[in-house]
Amino acid sequence: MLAIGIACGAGNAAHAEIGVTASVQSDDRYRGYTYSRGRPIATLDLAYDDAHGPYVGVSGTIVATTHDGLQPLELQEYIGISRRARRDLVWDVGIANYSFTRFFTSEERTTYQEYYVGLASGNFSSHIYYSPDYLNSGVRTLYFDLGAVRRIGERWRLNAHFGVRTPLNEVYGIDRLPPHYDLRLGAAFRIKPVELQLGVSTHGPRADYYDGQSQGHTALVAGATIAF
Amino acid sequence: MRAWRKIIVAIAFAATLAPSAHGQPTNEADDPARQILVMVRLTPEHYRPGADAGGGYGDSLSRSARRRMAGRIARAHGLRFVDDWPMPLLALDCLVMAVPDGRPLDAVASEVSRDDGVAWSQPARFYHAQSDRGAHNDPLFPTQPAARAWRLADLHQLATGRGVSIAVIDSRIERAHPDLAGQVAVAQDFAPGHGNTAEWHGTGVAGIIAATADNGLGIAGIAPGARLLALRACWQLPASATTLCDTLSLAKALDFAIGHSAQVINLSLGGPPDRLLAQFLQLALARRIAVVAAYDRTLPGGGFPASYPGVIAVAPDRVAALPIGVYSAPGRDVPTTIPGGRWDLVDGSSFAAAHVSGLMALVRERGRGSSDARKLVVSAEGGIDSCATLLGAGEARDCRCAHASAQVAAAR
Repeated sequence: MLAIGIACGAGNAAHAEIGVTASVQSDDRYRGYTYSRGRPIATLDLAYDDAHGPYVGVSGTIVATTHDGLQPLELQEYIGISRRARRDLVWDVGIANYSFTRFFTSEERTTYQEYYVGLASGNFSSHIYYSPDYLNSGVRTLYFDLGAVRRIGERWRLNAHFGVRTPLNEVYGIDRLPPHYDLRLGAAFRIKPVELQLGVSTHGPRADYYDGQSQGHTALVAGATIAF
Repeated sequence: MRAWRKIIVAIAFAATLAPSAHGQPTNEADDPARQILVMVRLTPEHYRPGADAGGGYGDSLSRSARRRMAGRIARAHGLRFVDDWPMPLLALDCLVMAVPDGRPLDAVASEVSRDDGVAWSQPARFYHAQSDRGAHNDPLFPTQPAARAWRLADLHQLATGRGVSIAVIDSRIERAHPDLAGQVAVAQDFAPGHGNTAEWHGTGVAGIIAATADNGLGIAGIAPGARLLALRACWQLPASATTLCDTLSLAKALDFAIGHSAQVINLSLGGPPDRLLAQFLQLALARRIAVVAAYDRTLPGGGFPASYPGVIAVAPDRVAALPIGVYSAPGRDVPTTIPGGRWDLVDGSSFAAAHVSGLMALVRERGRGSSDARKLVVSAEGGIDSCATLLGAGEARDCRCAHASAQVAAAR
């Protein structure tokens, strides 16, 4: 577990503020896979961004389960620092901690960390993530992503995300799996202070599998976010 | 589905609370003349969890933090937060604040500038289009000054501005005008709330720059092969020919033009110096974008942005004793497009600037390096020598000869 100190951080720079948003989505799609078994989720995000570069944040998600009502699903904390190398180039480095409840894994609890470095310039950003225990102990992975966003007018935003995850080692005697890719295309429309989102997410080469059957590769995800 | 409904109800309830959490933004139409702009440093973009990881500065979490900060600044100085607008190109967030009492705007801006985290603050300023509407109302076929003074037909044998994008930051252009149809690649409105009809100043400037040639209608633009970014940042006052813009609308349009890789930016307007706009101009010039502005001899230094170093300042021809560095171009009795699918005669440095913007597009198509003022060649008579500008001083002084030479070379 990372030590997140939003309240402490807020005192260091008088001009920064905490950002707070709440959102709902029809599915928790993360890097192509559903983390909520296709069920809707609600997320509360808090973040503190210091103008000089350091930032921390926490994101908590609950899921609307089929039989048990609303249940906690995931908690994510992250801390990092980003700086402008030039006016139009930003570098970013940090660590994220993920914790999932049994409603994700059917096990008691799953926790892992990822370390990331990235660059952002204009409408594009890219990160490389390394995890020594991706969802399972000893599973070392690298994930590379490329994101693009295009603002259209003051209300519309189009975004695209492409990512590739590759295992770095054999696990449990199983040969290294081939790289896994995911692609997401989305649009967002802002009506102050709410943003509505619609996206399509696909991944491969393996299909999603839960509830005893293969669930295919592609999903349409709708959501809404409100900023406080 | 019951759980789904619970989530939606919870969010809807939260939405009702959201404005009171930090809710200074107002929907009322604040008087722009009583507003200041507060520039705060934008935090560098970085990792965010979830689906919006690549979502950039538009993401709601950053927006939430910015608006909270805006609310705090507003409370501290007795202001009312109107809106905010992130400007990643300048690494700034622009907060628009209304000054509700009669305090001098400069004094309030100066006070806010001393806040920790505020880069600077300034009053919102206003800019006037630099033109006089012509007295003629009858539609007419071209007797364009540039046709003779610039030997436009010969220039078009060498270049038409093909593949060059020109940002026309002005009032609303009539995109469906028969002489402009298909010439506008992108249109954006950065001055909403000021009507939805086409306006004469922007339509006139656009026609001079890029009216379609050889279509049997109206006029030929200086760069008919170019494509326009029609960026509405100005508006025509009701029952008047006066066209007005303000700092924020111009900044938004400049941000869009630079972000969308315009190669030429036309600013047929003038007003007082402005720090925010100056930063955008600096960025544009650093990216080797040609910025052309109208020169107004009634304003100190010819007005801003014409007075900004590196900006090509243009006045109408037949104006005596122009300062060094100010160019003259056709700007009297110029036929051009006007709303309603018509044409009319116009006067003023706005339209002289439009000529030079078109010429810079031709220069760009010819690949003559950066399109800055150093490429402009002045004739012995004092006006711009368009052919020498296009071909390079010393290389050719006559477009017709150059064209003939090119044809001979091609035939061989």
